[in-house]
Amino acid sequence: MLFLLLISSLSCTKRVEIKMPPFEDRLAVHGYIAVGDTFAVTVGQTVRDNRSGTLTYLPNALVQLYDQGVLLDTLRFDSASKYYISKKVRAEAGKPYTIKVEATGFRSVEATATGISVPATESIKHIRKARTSQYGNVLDDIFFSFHDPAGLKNYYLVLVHGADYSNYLGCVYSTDPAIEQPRGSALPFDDGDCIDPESIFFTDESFEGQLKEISLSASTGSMTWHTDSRGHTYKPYIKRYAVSKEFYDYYKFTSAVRDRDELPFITEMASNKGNIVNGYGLFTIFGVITDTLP
Amino acid sequence: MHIRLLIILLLTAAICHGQSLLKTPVTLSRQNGTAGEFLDDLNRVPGVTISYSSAIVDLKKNIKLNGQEKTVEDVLKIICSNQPVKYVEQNGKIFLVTTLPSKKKYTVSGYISDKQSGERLIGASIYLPGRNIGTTSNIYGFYSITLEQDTVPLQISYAGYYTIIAPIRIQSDHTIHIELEKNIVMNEMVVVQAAKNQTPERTLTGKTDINSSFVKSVPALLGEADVLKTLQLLPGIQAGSEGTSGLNVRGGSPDQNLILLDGVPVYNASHAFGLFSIFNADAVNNVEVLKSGFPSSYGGRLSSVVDVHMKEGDKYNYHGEGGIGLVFSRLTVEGPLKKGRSSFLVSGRRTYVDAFLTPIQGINKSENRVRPFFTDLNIKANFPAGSKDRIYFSLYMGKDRLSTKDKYSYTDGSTSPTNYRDEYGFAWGNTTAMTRWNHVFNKKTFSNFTFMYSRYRFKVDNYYEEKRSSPAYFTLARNKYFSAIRDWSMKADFDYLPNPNHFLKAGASATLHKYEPGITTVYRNDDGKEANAHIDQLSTTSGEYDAYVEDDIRLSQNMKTNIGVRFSAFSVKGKLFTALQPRMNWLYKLHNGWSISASYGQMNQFIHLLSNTSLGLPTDLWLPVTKKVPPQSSQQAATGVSWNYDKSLIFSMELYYKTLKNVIDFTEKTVFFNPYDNWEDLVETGTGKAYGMEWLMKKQKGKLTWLTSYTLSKSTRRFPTINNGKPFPYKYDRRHEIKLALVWQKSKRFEVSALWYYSTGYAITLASAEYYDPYAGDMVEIFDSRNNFRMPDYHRLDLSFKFIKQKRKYLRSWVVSIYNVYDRFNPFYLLENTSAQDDKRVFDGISVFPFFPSISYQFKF
Repeated sequence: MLFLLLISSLSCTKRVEIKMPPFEDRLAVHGYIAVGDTFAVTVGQTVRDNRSGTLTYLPNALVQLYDQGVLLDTLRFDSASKYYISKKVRAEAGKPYTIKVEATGFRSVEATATGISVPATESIKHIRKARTSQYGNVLDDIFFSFHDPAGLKNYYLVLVHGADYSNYLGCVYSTDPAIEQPRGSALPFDDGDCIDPESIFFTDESFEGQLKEISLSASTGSMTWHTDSRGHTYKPYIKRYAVSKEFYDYYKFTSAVRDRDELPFITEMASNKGNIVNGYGLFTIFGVITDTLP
Repeated sequence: MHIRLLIILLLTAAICHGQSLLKTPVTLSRQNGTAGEFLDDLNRVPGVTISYSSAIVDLKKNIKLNGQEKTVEDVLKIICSNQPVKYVEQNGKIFLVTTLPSKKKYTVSGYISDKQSGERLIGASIYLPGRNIGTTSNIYGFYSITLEQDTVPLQISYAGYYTIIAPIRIQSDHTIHIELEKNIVMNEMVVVQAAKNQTPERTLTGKTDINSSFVKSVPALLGEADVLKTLQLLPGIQAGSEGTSGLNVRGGSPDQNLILLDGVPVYNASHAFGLFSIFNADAVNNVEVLKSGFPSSYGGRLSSVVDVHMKEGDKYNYHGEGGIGLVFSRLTVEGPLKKGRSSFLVSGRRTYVDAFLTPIQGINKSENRVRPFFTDLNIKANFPAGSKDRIYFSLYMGKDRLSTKDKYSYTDGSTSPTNYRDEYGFAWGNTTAMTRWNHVFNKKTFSNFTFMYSRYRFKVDNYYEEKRSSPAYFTLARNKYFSAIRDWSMKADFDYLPNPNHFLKAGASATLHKYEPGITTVYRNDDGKEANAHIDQLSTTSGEYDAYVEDDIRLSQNMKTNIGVRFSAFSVKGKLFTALQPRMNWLYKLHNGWSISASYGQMNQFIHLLSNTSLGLPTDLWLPVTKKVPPQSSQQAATGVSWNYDKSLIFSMELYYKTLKNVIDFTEKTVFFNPYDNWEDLVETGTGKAYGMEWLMKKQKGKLTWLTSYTLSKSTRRFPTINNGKPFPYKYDRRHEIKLALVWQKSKRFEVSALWYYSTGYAITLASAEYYDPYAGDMVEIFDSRNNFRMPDYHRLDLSFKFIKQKRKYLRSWVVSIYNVYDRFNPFYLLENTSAQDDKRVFDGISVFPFFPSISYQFKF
């Protein structure tokens, strides 16, 4: 506490200049494509300083999509959405696609991604008011199961959406050791075992090729069906993604970068993730299933 | 024959000369006389001192000079001719010693202690000047030396004390307890004691002793002397973050330091998030620091040993000392339990920030009330249990606590007011206890049996309550988090001194570790509906067993070596880890005060510190090794050269190369520990490398004493997945470090000290650039590599002025300290960057320690 008091009472702020190591600006390419969707990617560039708030979309890049060396399409820039869009090619599961991007003043970049199919849901269950969290909140339990494809290392991401669109579902809880605990706290009880409902990650390391049931607990209030004044009913649902390793690592990395802002002086970051060769960002093709909770 | 003698001798201290005494010109008035008469004549020559015994020299032997004798040596040659005697010049004296081989050997042993207080002196030198052999007292003040039957001059010295030279007739085994008197002459102040004796024992590679007077002399943050921060002045020992007492030794991390309090390991040696160490400088007797060349009696950590010996207490008189500072007050009282036989010491500290805050918050009617404090208490006692036995008790209890209370009411008018009460508190601290039994088996064998307990624990207590009368509503939540590590240890150590050429040490220990790295209990009451939960997933125990043997061998008059081996076994969850750790230290004393040394050692560490910060927070958890996260190990080779001029000016230079294996770091995902995590999945094991060169120069006599050091070093880490598998700088890799400490004792009433510190900025991981991710809807920072930037160079100047006055019954001092005199802006951490240019990036930096004056009052009675 003395330390905290000192920081608050004695500390002062000053501009500090830090010598930068050499850095070459590169392209940043993003394409998150669901199996069955047409291809759409953004092309931007790295910046040293974004104080101006300018987003760095590059409209004059050459963006081409290949299937094992065969050109499938040249994506066109849509000035409204800022995306380079293919109107004719849809992503298929199990098929590898390569995106190549050229822009004046930058190294050419490319990335390859294979469409991933998501295993079907075997069962889904919703038990209301099943338990109380350590903070006293009444929680519902959610169970869903699927059969993990054998012989492959599979990566999953689950998003839980509450029924009440106006009430953000702050945390979900799980004691399943398969689920990553992407956040925590320097001190207990600050975040505890709270899992971001939009960042529920797990791999099949502990259930490879088997039927897996995942259990989650979420606030009863957010899991209750809600009908608005116009008679529209909102139901809770989960989206289950089968993603690539690159996606998995990239998503965790960007989550960590955001968390870092809270405690800049005690957390350390390391090199970036992604699959863009000679550049930054992510090009990935995933499978997704949406299940409304009963 | 068993003889017990008590020798209390005063100054016959050696005076060193710049040229040989033997070459001193003499003009003698007589040509004929006895050997005794001529020796008397020579002793009258100014500056010449000849020490001899009638048991060796035939003083009645008639001597006839031929008139050609021009120097002392010429005369001594004639005196020594035709009798088994030779002359040796050493340390400003000439000794006449026998050349006859003696047939029988006897042992002289006993304790060396401070004459005034009875405090045992660690590492005092027992030396035979004529024969250039000697030994040192062990950490309990015990010494033993086996010599041939003879009458020899025994020289006993200890830095800061008058040297004794006394002829001892060795005709049987002797027990001689020696008391040395403190040298109160002002210009004999000892700064740092190392390499201080004539024998090479004290100049081993990587070893330094620091005494409490030096700790109290150098300027300190908030005017509070701090043992661990004083160690940061030594080359190769770096602070972590500014103002904290963490130690990074030769590229090692803070958990790799074996910090011992009277031999008991301490797991978190800091108060107030590292601002102060747990060691009360008033109660500290001596600190021994090892950076390399570890004797095999030490083990369990990779990078250093910091062995803090607290005072035992004055056996003759009651007295005390203390101080009142801006942060805390302290008081130490010591005295005899039974005069001359047993003693006690009680020492305590407590902060009073909370005492100031409470009325201020009361006056301000603050809803949120903060109460921080820390306190600690040392209790020690020792007493004899027979002629060969002594029992020691030592207890340390320390506690930090921070609590906040928040009380308020709220109503929107539709109900009666709801009263809210929110209390949050966390506390942490160490408790160590030790019982030691010293037993002298025989003249050559000293034993020590120790029973130890060490506990470090951290608690969080959170209480929340909402209460409303209309409509009635009540909810209460109470959460507790607890983590701890506890050790119960038994240890036996034996010192065996068969002759002056060997000092054998052997021992064994067994430790039961109990880990409770995160226990959470939860209680909830909602309008009478109760809920309870208890989470304890990782509590476990382990057994650690060690055995060691080492020998200090004198290979020749000027060469010695220490060779040893340590065997360690660690049992956890049915798995056994073992390690055999060879150690070696070699030293050769050249002429004119120069010596060279080399060492090699392997160290093993069976517990990991899981820390997500670099600050050394109390939330850091100690966990045992596992199959997936195996024991850390290190190998270090070091070599050095040192020069000692007149025990006043000392220079040393050391080179070291260290490799680390199985060090841990969090993987690239930045996560923190919680009870549901499997910590093994969050960390990765890797390797480390550190090498460097350290220079140290110090002057420890005279009104102006000083110490300066320069370190050139590099330290890296490498992990399979972190930083794409490439090596990266360790966080506290600092290429250059310069430290300068000065103490000027102008008079008995006024003292000035200064400290200047410079280092290359530590490594930090910052984003080189960023890009926009349209799916995340946010900018993503680009981290090229781990620790890719450097903080600005760090430097500051501290000053301290001490005004001392002897009052009728006590000595008082006012100490005025100024931290960071020229207000250097040394950023503690960086906030968001504000702009970037071609070759630099601009951040908002936060500095915690600007120019800061402080005052404290100290007293001694």
